[in-house]
Amino acid sequence: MIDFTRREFFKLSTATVGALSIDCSTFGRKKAKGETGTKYSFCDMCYWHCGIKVKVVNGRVVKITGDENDPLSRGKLCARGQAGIQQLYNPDRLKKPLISTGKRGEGKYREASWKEALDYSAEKLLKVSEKWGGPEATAWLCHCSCGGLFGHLAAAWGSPNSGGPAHALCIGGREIASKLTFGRPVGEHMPVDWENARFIVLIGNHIGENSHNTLMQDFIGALDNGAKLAVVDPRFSTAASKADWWLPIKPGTDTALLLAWMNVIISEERYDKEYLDKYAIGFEELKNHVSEYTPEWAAKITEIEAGTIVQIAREMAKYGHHAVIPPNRHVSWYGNDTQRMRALFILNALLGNYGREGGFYFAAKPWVMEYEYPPSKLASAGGGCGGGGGGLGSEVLPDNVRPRVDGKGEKFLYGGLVEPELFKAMATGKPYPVKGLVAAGTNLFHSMPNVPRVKKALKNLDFYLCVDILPQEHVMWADVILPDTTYLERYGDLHAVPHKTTPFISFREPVIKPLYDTKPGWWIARELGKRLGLDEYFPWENYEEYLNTRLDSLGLSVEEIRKKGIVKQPQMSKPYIKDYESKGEVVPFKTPSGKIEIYSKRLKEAGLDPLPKYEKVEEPPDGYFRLLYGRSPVHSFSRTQSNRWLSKIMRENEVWVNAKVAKKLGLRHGEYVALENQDGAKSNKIKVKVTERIRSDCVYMVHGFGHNTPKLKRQHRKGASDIALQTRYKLDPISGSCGLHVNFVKFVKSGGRVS
Amino acid sequence: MSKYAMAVDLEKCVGCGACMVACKAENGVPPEVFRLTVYEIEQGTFPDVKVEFRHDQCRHCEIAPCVLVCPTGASFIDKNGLVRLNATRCIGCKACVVACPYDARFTNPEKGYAEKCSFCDHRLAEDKQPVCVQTCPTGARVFGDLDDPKSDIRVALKDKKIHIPKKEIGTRPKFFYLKKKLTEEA
Amino acid sequence: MEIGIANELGHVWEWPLGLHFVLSALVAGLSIIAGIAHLTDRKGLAKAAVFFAFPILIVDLLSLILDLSKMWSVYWLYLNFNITSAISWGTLSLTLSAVCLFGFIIDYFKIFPIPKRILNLLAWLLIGSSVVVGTYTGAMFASCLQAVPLWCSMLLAPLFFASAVAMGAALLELFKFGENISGWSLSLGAFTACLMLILYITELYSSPKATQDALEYLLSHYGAIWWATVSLGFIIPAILAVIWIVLRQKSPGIIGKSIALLSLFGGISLRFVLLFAGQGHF
Repeated sequence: MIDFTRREFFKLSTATVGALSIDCSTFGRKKAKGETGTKYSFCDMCYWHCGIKVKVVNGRVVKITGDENDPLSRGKLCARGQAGIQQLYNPDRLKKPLISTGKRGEGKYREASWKEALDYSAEKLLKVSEKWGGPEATAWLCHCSCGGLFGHLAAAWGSPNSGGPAHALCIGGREIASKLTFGRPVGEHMPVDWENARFIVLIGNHIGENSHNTLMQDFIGALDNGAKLAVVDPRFSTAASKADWWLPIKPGTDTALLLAWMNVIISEERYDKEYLDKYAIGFEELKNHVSEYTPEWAAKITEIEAGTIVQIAREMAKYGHHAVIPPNRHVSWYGNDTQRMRALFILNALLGNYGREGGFYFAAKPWVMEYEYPPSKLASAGGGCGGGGGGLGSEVLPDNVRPRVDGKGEKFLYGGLVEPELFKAMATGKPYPVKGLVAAGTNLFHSMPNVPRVKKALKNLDFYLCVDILPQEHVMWADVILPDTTYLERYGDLHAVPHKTTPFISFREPVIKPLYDTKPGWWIARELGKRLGLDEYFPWENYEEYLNTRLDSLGLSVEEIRKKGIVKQPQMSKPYIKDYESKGEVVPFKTPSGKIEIYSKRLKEAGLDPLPKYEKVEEPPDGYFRLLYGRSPVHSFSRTQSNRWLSKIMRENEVWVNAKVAKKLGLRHGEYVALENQDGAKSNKIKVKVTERIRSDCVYMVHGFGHNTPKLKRQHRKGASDIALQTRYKLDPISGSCGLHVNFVKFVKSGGRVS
Repeated sequence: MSKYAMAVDLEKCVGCGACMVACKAENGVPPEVFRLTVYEIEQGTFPDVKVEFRHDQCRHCEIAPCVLVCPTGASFIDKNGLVRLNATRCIGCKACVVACPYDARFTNPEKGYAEKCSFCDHRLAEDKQPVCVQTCPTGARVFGDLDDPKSDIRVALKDKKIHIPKKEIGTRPKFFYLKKKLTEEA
Repeated sequence: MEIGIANELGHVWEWPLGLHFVLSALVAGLSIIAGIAHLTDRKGLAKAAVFFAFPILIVDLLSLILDLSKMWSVYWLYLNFNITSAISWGTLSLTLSAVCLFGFIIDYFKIFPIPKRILNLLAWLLIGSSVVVGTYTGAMFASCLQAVPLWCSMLLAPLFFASAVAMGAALLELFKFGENISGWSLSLGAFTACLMLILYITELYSSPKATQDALEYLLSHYGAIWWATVSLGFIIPAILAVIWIVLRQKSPGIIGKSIALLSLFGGISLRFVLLFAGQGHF
């Protein structure tokens, strides 16, 4: 520790040090020779989609930097974004179309031409449709990295069994809750007014560990501005390390805490009365509802002291609409997720912060014309991480289309495809057989719970097609494998980003030509579509033509937009309620009542709780621990473990265990153990991390590891998979969100069992 | 003539690793090694825990042990106070690797010479910040000229406490940790 | 947490450097004896020492080069001199020793006669350069400042030098041809080395926390070898040396042989243990 005004410390000149060493300042770095160029694009290492600048020297990508002009990256970029180079040049990539020559799961393939592979796939898909009663018998799982055109293809063909895991296994509960309460989605980038926030409460929200570029910038910016932070988490997360209060809550009791906070704020009349009168309905019902949920009641359940609960509630209320409880992303925890998120949003409403400074802003979407396709049988499911497919409307299917197999309407009320239920249907053949599957950029063995059932479902299929970049485990089960290009080798659809001040549209173009014999996702979807007789839904010849048609609505073209890679529309921005009221416009809470619906009539009518209630979750049996999981800042789900740079930073995951528990069980820091869950599923060996940073009733690991595939050299048998231990899930009756925090594990040492 | 220095604000660093990868890409560092590493320090017992992210890289010491022990003059201090390396002259005796109190140096597994952080001197020449500073999402990394009162680093140093690991060795490093309040060194 | 790797440095200096340290010690010890023997007119002893020293020196230089990770650039050692670099001093002194020893060899093989005055000058130069060769390996350790707590002692330089003399004398005692090594020099070497080692250990124990940790590491990982080295390689030879001096024997005999054998073991073991334990992780 030094006092910097005492600068003598630095005064020693270098001359006395260098002595006889010779100054070689003329020694310079060799300049990269050859053609150097910079192209604009947006990142696809995760779903945040930061704007990037890509430096190419002699046809080789050498550096990816954040685009200063882009409101998401602001010139900064995370570890994964910069390691995109190593995804492009990953030697393990799929290089040619492959057709299976063995049984499913055997992994025997022969190389094929694109024509043969596509013809064969289309023939098989048509046969499935013919034999099993139509296109509904084929399911389509399409996630971000392959582009949305597969969803478009599924809708055009007429399969309602189409979607991406972003809904049911991630943000679905949150999106539905927000739409029910505010009539607005949370969306891709979480419209929290960080720069004006003065008191922030994070609940299970791992900013820093989930490494969303803008979020990290804004979060730390808010703290730097002096915002106070309380973190509610059974684990001392990175965010908790920045917090003024850490509340190590008992897992599964968050709703109790939220209700108790509401109780304090309401009983002490610290809520924003004027705001609620004007913009919300159902406050009186809430007041009665939460009166029994006292801090003392919650203290027993959450294991957080009643005094602390009251203190945080008062602090929160002190800051009024400058206090905010931002929602997290992955909310599929306990199968009560929509209600928990509703409680969170209602608490925000009590503070009067939606549409006010320091709370949530109205994120305005930029405008660009959609491509006008001929009307298709169904609406495209979407399926990116922006929350597509989560509408509240009761979509009416045409008479000639059978309903989704995942039980929407019976098992749950709203939302997109629930994949685990789809695989259940595939495995059992009920309500009707699904015999075809197209999986594009969706990791079936590392994102779907109950992997044994997924494998059984795959074995039941007549035809299984995979479009992917890497030979992941589930890819090597497919009948046909089509190698996609990475985001650096292809065009992408225009990305319209809602934003507080600068709604904008970003553009992606191929930075280099596709490597190997790979083809861009849009090309594959189009060729497949043509072979399924859907030519009219792919009227454009190539993607440039498609983009030009859309850009034309803005008076732009591909030629022009590529110069900057981005179109900003600041004129669309209207972040706060006052921006609407001053112009005499309706404040856009798009609920049936046009107001914030604290009390939800829609849920009541569906026979569900109109106000969130606390429900007890199942406790781990003796000797077992609740399995929690999360993210690493250097990996995206299960996609990046073989990335040459990222794998070097984090090669394997560890299981976090409380130090006292470890002592009791005789677990040493750094030793390898296996985990076994309540159903007897056993994990790969995993390193023990003995730590004071976690409660004693749960263990934690980073998601995405434990791949068992020698085809991916750098990730083969590194760490353990949390998904392999999640053989069960709890379905949320509102959104179909699949709660995964309901699995319990115990430690197994290689020699014998730890009690 | 400048006196370049770098600082990491421990209150802002979330350990996302962006700096590590940026450095690798910018400087063509072989995949197995890093010029800059980030690691985590955990202190206390549940529930009173503290966690900090610490960074190891070349500190560009004013009294640089690596320069002192270098027999060939491959390691030298330039006019801007940067500890630099003339790779041609390096014979790979590894005296500097052993001598560095901060484990900042390592042998380049491909080229055989002793590598380390250069504060991106090639970028400084183009009037750009070192790449780790440029890319840091949370702005935890600060860089600048200590002799220039208006530089980013001087501004950052003004209202925060400074912590210099292993200060007692007396190498006068030009890399600091910043915090409002200091915790004990682990 | 998971992110938080450091470069896996492991042992930066490997066994070839340990070999270099041992051989340099032998060269230094032998050369200094050769120089003194020449000047005191004990030609037989001088000749024996030179014939041992020269080939060892050649292997020694090779072992130094073997440890370089860019060995084809080794010529830069001769194009630059850094006054604060132990390796610079070492290179210079080893080269000078080589030249002097070569001079003696030319004379012994009568390739062409070298005047006595020049030979005397060479002997003085040899003594001088040997002092540097004997101390520089210790200084090489010590110049790592506090980066390596176990090495952070300038006492290592005189310790290594005393041990070098003992080792040189020991080699001549064990493989004697020509004239006998004087028991005095053998005993004095062993005794001084032991004294220096005791001082060094005392210093370690009174050092700051980092060194204490390092010491703990040394004792937990190399404990048996370390204490064997200290007792067998240094303390017992020193006691034997005292006994020998008290008995006033002319020729060292069995005691001398024991001192020699143990000193050699001590010198070699000390260097390797310090090299590896110093780079251990603590």
